[in-house]
Amino acid sequence: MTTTPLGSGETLQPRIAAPAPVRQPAAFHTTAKVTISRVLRSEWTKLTSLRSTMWTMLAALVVTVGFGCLIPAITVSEWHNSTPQERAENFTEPVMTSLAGGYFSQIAIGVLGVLLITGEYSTGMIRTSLGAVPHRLPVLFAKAAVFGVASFALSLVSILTAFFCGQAILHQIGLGVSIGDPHVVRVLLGGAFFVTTIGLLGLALGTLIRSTGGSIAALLGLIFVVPIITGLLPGDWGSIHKFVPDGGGEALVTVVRDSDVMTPLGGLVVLLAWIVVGLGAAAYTMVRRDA
Amino acid sequence: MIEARSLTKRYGSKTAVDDLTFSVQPGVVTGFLGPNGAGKSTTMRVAIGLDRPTKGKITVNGRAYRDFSAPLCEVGVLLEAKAVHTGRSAYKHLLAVAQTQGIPRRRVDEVLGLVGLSDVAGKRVGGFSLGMGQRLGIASAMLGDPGVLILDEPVNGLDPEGIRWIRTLLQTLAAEGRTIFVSSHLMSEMALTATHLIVVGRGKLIANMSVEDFIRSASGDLVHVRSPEANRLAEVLDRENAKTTPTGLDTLAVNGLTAQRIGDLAFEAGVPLHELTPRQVSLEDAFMDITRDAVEYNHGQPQQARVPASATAAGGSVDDGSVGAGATTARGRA
Ligand SMILES: Nc1ncnc2c1ncn2[C@@H]1O[C@H](COP(=O)(O)OP(=O)(O)O)[C@@H](O)[C@H]1O
Ligand SMILES: [Mg+2]
Repeated sequence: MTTTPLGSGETLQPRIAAPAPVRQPAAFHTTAKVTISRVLRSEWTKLTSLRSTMWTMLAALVVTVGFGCLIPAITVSEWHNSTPQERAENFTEPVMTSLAGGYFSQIAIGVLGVLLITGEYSTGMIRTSLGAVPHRLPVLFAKAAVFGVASFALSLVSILTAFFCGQAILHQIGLGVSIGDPHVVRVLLGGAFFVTTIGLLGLALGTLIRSTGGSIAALLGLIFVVPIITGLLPGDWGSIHKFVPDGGGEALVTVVRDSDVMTPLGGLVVLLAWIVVGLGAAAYTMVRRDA
Repeated sequence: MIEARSLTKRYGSKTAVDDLTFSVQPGVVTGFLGPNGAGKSTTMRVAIGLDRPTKGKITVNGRAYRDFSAPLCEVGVLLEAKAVHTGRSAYKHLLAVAQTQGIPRRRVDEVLGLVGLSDVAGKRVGGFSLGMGQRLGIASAMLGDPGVLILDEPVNGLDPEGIRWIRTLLQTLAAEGRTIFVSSHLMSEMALTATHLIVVGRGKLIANMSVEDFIRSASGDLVHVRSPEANRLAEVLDRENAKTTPTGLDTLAVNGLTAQRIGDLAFEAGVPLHELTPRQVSLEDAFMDITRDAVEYNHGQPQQARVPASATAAGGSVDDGSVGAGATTARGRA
């Protein structure tokens, strides 16, 4: 064979296809439509159908409750070995004593927030998700809503359990407070809100960075390294700490307040601002970048 | 119907899809054929709005994908890279997808049955074999009972039984009047599955025609001739501008003449014929012929000595060496 009639630059025209038979569309086509409530339901199914997610949430609960009972128990034994002066100085935050587990559950929930989206990028699931909802933003916001509500509920339940357990133990030495005491409800709700904020920031960072490792590193940097840096800043610069997530959370859960800490309302505003900015940036990149 | 108009997609300086214009008609299986790296997957991702075109557009039934209020009911998609979270069960995966647009739960059961995964619906997708994964992908594509299907390399890695299953399924779906657009880098597979072909290389359209025409135009027909006076016959045929290649002591491969004409010429010249068999050039040869430039450009290597199609065909072997070599040009997505 010496000739190839079709050179690589040429194009032959398609033949006309035969008329296609008429197909009856499925009955559900008349009602099918992407709506925000349907995407919420879908994201709920996704959240609750991963074993790893369920285990992480359970771990967050166990750690919060566990430390909520353990730290007060240690406090009680230390109390017995302390002088009256030490007692007056060191045992001023009985509510916080039973919220110690929150430090760990913020990691668990934060990492979970990251995985919620990076798990989709790493497995390719994101293409299915965005193919089903081509406007994309409903996916991100439904994820944030479902995960935000779930992690707030989970955190609140574990924080309340930790509180009742820890205060019962502290009652032995007369330090325990009850839920009706001043500030207590605010601190408990504030703690749950702070953990939820970290989870949503994890989701935002995961959407921005896409890789699991990078996103977790960025998140841990934000919640643990940034406060260390602001703590080292000289003079007035240190007050920047009020405006980082850690400072906002501190404002929400502190009872005995010094001048470096905002009011609880101020702390709430700081955390809300972080959520809005984080998810806003995530939304912006999600609609603009290729999936 | 799928229509691409001057579709171009660049990733940085790399042009993955280069000014593609074509349309895919309903009622037949249309193969989207090209060596690895030709831009097939990119075209399909752009078609469903996952990647944004640099220039031009691609529409389904006249509309941009993102304008569909229930996209899964219009276009079903199977992407080359598995697009499933491995930690979820097949059932929950499909359910979550169906829920986004109110596709009823029973449809999830239906498509699981359709692809034969009902028994493993509760198992985690991570434990699925390649074949099961592809079946799940087909189930996902069929969830909305769409009139248009876009499938990226659906037979990749399947066993012969799975390949036959997909082939039959696609032909059945096309016969129902759906638009079926299916990519492959294997010509032999497309020849069995598709009726129409859109061939691309280096992002550019190379051919757009029926499978039949494709084979005919890419390589002329070949006739296998056996004669005790093969040399004399070759001289006779060469005078008629045929191309003859000796393939044995008494056999010739003849290009450029019909079997009928060869028989007549032999009779006139008094050359006895013991065998006169028309043979079609193999599809892989036709495909390689037409995409050769694209493949070799990708290698950035000197052109290989070209094996005459007639010789490979007469030898009955399919040299898929350079198609396989083309596979090495596929790069993972960053
Ligand atoms: N996300 C991406 N970023 C950069 N280059 C890409 C990306 N996706 C594809 N490419 C490049 O575009 C070309 C076409 O790729 P692809 O569409 O996957 O081809 P095919 O599916 O035909 O094998 C390849 O050279 C590939 O490396
Ligand atoms: Mg591909």
